Amino acid sequence: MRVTVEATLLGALVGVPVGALLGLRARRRSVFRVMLYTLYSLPPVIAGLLGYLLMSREGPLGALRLLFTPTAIVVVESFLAAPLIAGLTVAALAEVPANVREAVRASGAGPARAAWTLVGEARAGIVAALMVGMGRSLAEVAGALLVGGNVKGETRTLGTAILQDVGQGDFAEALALGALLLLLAFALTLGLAWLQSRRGEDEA
Amino acid sequence: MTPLLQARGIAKWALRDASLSVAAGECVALLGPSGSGKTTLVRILATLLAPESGHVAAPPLRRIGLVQQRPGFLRASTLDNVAYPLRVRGASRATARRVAAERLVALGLAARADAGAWTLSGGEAQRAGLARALVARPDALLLDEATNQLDPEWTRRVEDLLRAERARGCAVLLVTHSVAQARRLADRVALLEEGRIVEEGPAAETLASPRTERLRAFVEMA
Repeated sequence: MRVTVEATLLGALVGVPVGALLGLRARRRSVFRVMLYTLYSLPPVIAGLLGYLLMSREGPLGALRLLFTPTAIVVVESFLAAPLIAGLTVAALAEVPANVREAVRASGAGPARAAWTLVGEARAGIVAALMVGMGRSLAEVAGALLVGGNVKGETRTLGTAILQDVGQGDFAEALALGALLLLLAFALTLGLAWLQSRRGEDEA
Repeated sequence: MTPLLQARGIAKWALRDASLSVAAGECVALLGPSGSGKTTLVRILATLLAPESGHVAAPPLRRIGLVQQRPGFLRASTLDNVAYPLRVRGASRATARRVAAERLVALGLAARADAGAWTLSGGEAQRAGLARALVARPDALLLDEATNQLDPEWTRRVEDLLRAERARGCAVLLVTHSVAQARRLADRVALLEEGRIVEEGPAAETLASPRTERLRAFVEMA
């Protein structure tokens, strides 16, 4: 749960600015967009492998000793969430009408201010992007297993716990954990949806 | 007089070789049929759009006020929308709102200040767009059919307001379909057709005795 929230936040920290940059500079960036959309389907096991190589003792981040810690899982999950969040941020910004973009520029806003304002305009869509990003990282197993190691009480996530239960034939516990996972997904979604409706209520 | 807004030999989309200038304290009415490129020319003069060829001289965007044909608003109150140009220029929220509120009063929108800008009717939206364009006291004002949804009473009051802006030295470019409005407000008129200015001159004389068949037809139709 904590891992998911942190991974989504880290993913948003990268994803939203990248999405804003791509969304607001419409042309010339189509190559980057294609790359982004390809990363949508980045297999978790590859993200885990990259994270492993990055954080293993010989890797560039090896000195931080992150491997097999919850932080390692956060990093890998954010690899998975960031492209989704960035891509959906691009889509959310595309929904802002052209005359609003123009009005913002015509009001004298510089590029940074205009970007800030327009991201605010696209907030409902960006919250939806966070939901999707969160959904991807919540139940992910392969990456979490690779860099977390499923250490009990340390890096065992609900997903990896279910995997282990199934391996040991404990289907009852696996099902219970599965239900818990669904419940958590429901609660997180409900929370974000509430945020979305609250922000949007003065628009109705 | 050196023009404040100047476009020379502009080509872009429908425009081909369009030239137009507006001096400080002058009001120029730009007439022309739909699709002749009026909005494109306005956007190029406002430096919101780069021409394919030609030359543009205009004050920086911060000193221009633009009223769009269909004003785009942020998802915020009418007041905050009108205050936005001042916020962008570094005014505090309180100051920006106070000045914006004065503008809303002048345009009869005081009662709509706290309403979401997306709830405004067509005429109200045009007045709010004008309030926003004027709030930072621009050097040049570009109006793209900015009064076509106003009732006669508000059309007259907005025209008075535009005269006051011109009197303080603001350059006003008025895109309009109304020959009558051009007569009432403009010092000069220009007719844009098929991407070019086909006739241009002092408003009263030019509209009274057009040189070209095209402007004559336009005046007679109106």
